[in-house]
Amino acid sequence: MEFSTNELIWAIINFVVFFVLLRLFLYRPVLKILDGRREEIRDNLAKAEQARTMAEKALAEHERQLAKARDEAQAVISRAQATAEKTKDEILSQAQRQAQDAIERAQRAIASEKERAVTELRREVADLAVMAAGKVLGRSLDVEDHREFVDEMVRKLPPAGGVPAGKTG
Amino acid sequence: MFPAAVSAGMAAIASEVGEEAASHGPHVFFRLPFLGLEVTSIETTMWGIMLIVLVAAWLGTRTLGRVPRSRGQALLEVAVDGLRAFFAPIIGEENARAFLPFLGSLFIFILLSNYSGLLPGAGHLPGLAAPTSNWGVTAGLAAVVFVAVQYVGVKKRGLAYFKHMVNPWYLAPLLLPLGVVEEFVRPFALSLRLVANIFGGETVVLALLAATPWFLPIVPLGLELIFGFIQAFIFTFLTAIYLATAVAEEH
Repeated sequence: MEFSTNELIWAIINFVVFFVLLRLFLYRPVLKILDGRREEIRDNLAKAEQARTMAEKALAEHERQLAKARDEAQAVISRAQATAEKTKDEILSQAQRQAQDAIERAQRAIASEKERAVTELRREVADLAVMAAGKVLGRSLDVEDHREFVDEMVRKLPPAGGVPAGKTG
Repeated sequence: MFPAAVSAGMAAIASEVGEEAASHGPHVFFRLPFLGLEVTSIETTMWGIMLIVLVAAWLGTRTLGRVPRSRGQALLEVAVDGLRAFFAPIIGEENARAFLPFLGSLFIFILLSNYSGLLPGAGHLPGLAAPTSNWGVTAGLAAVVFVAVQYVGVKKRGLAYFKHMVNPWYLAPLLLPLGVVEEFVRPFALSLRLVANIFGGETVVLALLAATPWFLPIVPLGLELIFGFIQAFIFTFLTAIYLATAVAEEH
């Protein structure tokens, strides 16, 4: 192990030259490349992150609109249902009313028909009675003359039965 | 002078344990006409290491691309980024980025210098001698580290960098000399630790080689591979911490 100023000076010169050249030829270019790549990766990651955020925002917006559309559709459906219900009720009540009317009209018609039938029947009975009485008496009673009388008689008859008995007796 | 005394003592030990160690002295090729600088085996070895690394770096970075195209690029990236990732938790991300060229150069320079002493014929062949087994070289590296630490400290914090030597002010008369001494002791310890380990290891290998040329030196040679790495690592690691301390704000 020796110490010589000669080697000391040479070591300083050599190392400084070595350092300067190596920095020029090795570290500068390699570090530049590494830093550039790092920068690029960082940029790309940032861009990817940004894109992700935007995509998420778009998705949220999309879902929001979808939900809105669904709500609106639901509203339309329920409105239609309500309308249909109302219409049904109206139709039903109208039908009931018409049916009621028809029944009442029919009943009224039946009643008047019955009235008319009873009246007709009475007249027929009166005629028959006059004819029968004429046959019994051997002469024909003048229909017009005695209608009043027979009507009177029939009216005095009890409502059911008794006519033949009264006539024959 | 202290280094001379140490080297004389170490040379004495070296000559006792083996003849080869004695021939370890630098082989002077020629003398430069200025500054009285001599070119020895240590200089040629340093230049060889520099040449190999720089050519490899030049070849490796010729075809750099954002998308790695070659295995060479992948290797360089792993090496550079690995160093950064290693230093980042110790001295901070920013410091690791800023000091990486210096620390990386220091590490590779010392590592290959250490390993150059393990090559066959290192110290015997003219032109091949481990630079880091010469205290002058390690002292030179430590001097560079010293200057670098002071430089980054002043550059980052201005005169506030020297505040740690006079803070608190009433202890300044005590702290100032201590602080100054500390600043010089650090590189001194750095250089001595490195050279003592490498020179010691080399001496052991040479001694064993002299005693039994077969098989036995494999063990210390293998160990030297590990120690060479560890010493380069420690030197660089401590430098990193000194640099980080220099630029750190006062607590």
